[in-house]
Amino acid sequence: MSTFPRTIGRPLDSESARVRAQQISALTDPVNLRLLSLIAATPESQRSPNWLAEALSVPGAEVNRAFTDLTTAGLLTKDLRDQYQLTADAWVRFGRLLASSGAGETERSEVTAPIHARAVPPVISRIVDDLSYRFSSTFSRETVARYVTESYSLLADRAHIVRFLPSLTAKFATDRLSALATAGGLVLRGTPEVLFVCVQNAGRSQMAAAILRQLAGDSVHVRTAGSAPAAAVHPVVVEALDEIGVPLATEFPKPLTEEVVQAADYVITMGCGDACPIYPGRRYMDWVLEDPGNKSLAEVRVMRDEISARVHALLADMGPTNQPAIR
Amino acid sequence: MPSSARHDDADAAQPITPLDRTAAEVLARTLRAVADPTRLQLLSMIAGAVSGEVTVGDLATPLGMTQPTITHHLRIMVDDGLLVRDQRGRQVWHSIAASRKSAILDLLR
Repeated sequence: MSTFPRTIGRPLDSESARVRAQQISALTDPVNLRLLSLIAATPESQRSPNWLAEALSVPGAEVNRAFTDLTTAGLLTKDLRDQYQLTADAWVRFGRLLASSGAGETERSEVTAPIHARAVPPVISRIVDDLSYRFSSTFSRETVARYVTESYSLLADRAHIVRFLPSLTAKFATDRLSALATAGGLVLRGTPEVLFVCVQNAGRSQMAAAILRQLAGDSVHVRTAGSAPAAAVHPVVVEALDEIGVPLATEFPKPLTEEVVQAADYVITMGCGDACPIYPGRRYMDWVLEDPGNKSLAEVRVMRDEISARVHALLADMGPTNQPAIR
Repeated sequence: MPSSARHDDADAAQPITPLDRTAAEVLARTLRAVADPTRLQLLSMIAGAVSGEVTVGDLATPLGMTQPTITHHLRIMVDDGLLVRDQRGRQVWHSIAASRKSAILDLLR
């Protein structure tokens, strides 16, 4: 017996433990494990039943048995087009394990972008105080200070951001610290993380994120970033979203940083090209969409509706467990 | 239109190389050690420990289990390299092996 109670984690409740144990049990069968890995790694168009049986070099009946096992365990689901897809649970809990050797354990690298030596205004120390308190169970004050200062520099370097710089810094730093906590596994989170990346983080990614937030609420965690962020969200985009009752008021373009990619389970790129770092075991998707920056409201409405349809399909792909509950 | 556009690019970027037979067999063996609700509960408590390590006594009380039961489960995970055991004086401490940490944390999400 210890003389004083030590702080240890709260145990998973028995139902959560049972579900996870069942999923893991399904993957203790090597054929099931290889099938799940193969589906994660192979474009849908290639995955005919014959091709899968051949790639696994097992009889077709074995492949069918594996499909049933994985579906029963909640690791595979059929999408709207009757195609098998990994569920959100499968990506979140096993995504990194399903990638081939060496990739299974990626070293967690703390972000070490240079911090510009510059005088920071007093309000920044105030933000450091507040966020140190908020993240005190997860990060040291030094880590919080480093992220806040760096976030301030990243935003301030883009000279056009002048208004609301302190509040934007606080929001950006909070996002990055919670992403860092998730990437490092410091926060146990059962909800899938989706990251939308475009070039300016002013149109496409903001629209997709706002629509997904509206649809999924707390059941999905949504972040956005841009490889070359603009000064502000395009007004025409805010207007087009307002027309369908989707708010975008507090969002602002943010640079792409490593920890938000690390934290994501689904990374959806929209024309950011090679700027988005690739980590194994995330689901990457590329949505080919034009930049709405110089488009008319009528054209942006069409884009908005296309993005909305894609977001609905994405949510359906993520599996029934993450649909908003029907009351 | 949206529904037709999806087919072209939904799977455009796929950075994963699938597991080969040997890798899958090795991983399946490791997963056997954690395919148990009690062991997952133990891992969640160790993962959330502020100092990163716990004693058998720390774990037994919240789960309402006896120390020999806990010891049995811990030994299975130590044998498989998921946990590291460290005896200091009369106390035995268990922590999650550094190389397995992120994989275990994913399983608990």
